[in-house]
Amino acid sequence: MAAIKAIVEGTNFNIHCFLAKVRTDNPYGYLVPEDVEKLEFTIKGAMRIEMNTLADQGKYDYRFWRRLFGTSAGEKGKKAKTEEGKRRAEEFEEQVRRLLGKGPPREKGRSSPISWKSRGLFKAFEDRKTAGDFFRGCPLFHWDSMAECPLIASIPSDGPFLLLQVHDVDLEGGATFAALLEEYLDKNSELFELVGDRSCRLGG
Amino acid sequence: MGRIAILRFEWKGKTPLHSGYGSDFAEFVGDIKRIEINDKYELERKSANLKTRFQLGGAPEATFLASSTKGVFRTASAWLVERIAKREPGASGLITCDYIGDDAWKKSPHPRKVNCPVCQVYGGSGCRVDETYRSLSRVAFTFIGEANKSTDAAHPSKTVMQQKDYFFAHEQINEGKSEPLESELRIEQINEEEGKPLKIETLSVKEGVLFLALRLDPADDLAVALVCLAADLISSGFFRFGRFTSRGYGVVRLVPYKHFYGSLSDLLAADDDPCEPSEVGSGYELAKKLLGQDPLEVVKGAVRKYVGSER
Repeated sequence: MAAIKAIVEGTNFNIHCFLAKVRTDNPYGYLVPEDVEKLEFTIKGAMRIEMNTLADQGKYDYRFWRRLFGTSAGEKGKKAKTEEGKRRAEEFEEQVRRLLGKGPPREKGRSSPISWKSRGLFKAFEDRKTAGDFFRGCPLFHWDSMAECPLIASIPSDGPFLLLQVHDVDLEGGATFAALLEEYLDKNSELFELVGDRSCRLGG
Repeated sequence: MGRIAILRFEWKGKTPLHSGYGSDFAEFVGDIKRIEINDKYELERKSANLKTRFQLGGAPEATFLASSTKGVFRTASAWLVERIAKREPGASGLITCDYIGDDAWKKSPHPRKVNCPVCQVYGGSGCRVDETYRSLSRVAFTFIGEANKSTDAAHPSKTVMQQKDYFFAHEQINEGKSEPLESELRIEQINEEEGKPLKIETLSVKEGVLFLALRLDPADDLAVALVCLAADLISSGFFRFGRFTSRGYGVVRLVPYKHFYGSLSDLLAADDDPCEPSEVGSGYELAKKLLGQDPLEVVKGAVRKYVGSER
């Protein structure tokens, strides 16, 4: 029950697409992978780390990154093996308690026996054509009687591009994670730059 | 007499598909081995596809189960029903047992005497509370693939190994554990040991070969509308199949291909293939063609009956 509650809690049943491009070839002194599949597998972790860093810098809304990206920090109540693992488990526990109430006391050394599932798809495209093909294959624009997905017009001429498809989550104070993600891509990310976004109306 | 529907969707994989299963069992059957690293035997960093035998005595083949597709369709349908319910005037809570969970149903002082809209289509054990209201699924999922290859329950596939230095989460950047400057961005890794990239087996499905068939009996308006709209939500990429779905895996386009919608006598009277080409670009359009009305309005109409009595 706790797991179901953790998945459901805060879900606002909105879906958003964000189109972004890589802002720099040399983020944090690293090279961005040229292989688009490698880049794709990297996006999620890179964003998670940036948001964690932003939270540490005082932008506290970003501390809710686990709500979007998911976490296994508390999975099955496993005992954390490292100091870093213990810190992550404690942070997660704190967020769960804030969200779901006090709950049963946690066994010493073990994290909360629940986990949050990831609510996003992080996809990379090497060029305008592959990105366009992907968006044209999405049938949801039919629901709103549109000729094609409006995001297609936002695709810049040079790649690579990233697509972030997210199930939105309400945050404390009336904010949403989609709004936070937009702000992150628009202003706060050193890695990514927002080039377009859309919330699907899904017929109303 | 009620109608029957057969909806065939072309299965177009847009990203790698990985079925996967538990590493303990994968090790037991020999799919993942222990290898010696620094005088210690550790599990190789590999995620193996689920395998099953398609012939008596045959070698196990990588496979994707039709039952997995039912789960994703149901998840997408429940999400849509809740989204629509939330936007109805007077809505105050959740209406599907998928989202409410067992406890809330059991503790409810006035258990509803009908199944939730999702259980009505996909089946359920009386919304998990009352055996009187158990219902069978109205929709069955099967694969239609290469001749003599697919079975009703599963589609065998060749396995392709992805080995491109995939790594999992370990924070390097903000912990000062970064690699030397100018190395490639490779933030995702489980540990700092070199030479242990994650290998992922993926399923190779040739385009134009695999179809997903949904058989609805009885095919009432809600069932047809819900499965067709769920197919679109899946095609959009918001609901995906298999593992590593947040890292781009498991995106599949389900393109309406052929359909039958009629009575059992129509089905029996058909000479050969009772299905006709769908010739539409989305599940939404297919449902609209079959039902003669907006499928979203059909779902809204069904959902309204539940709004006001949410848990």
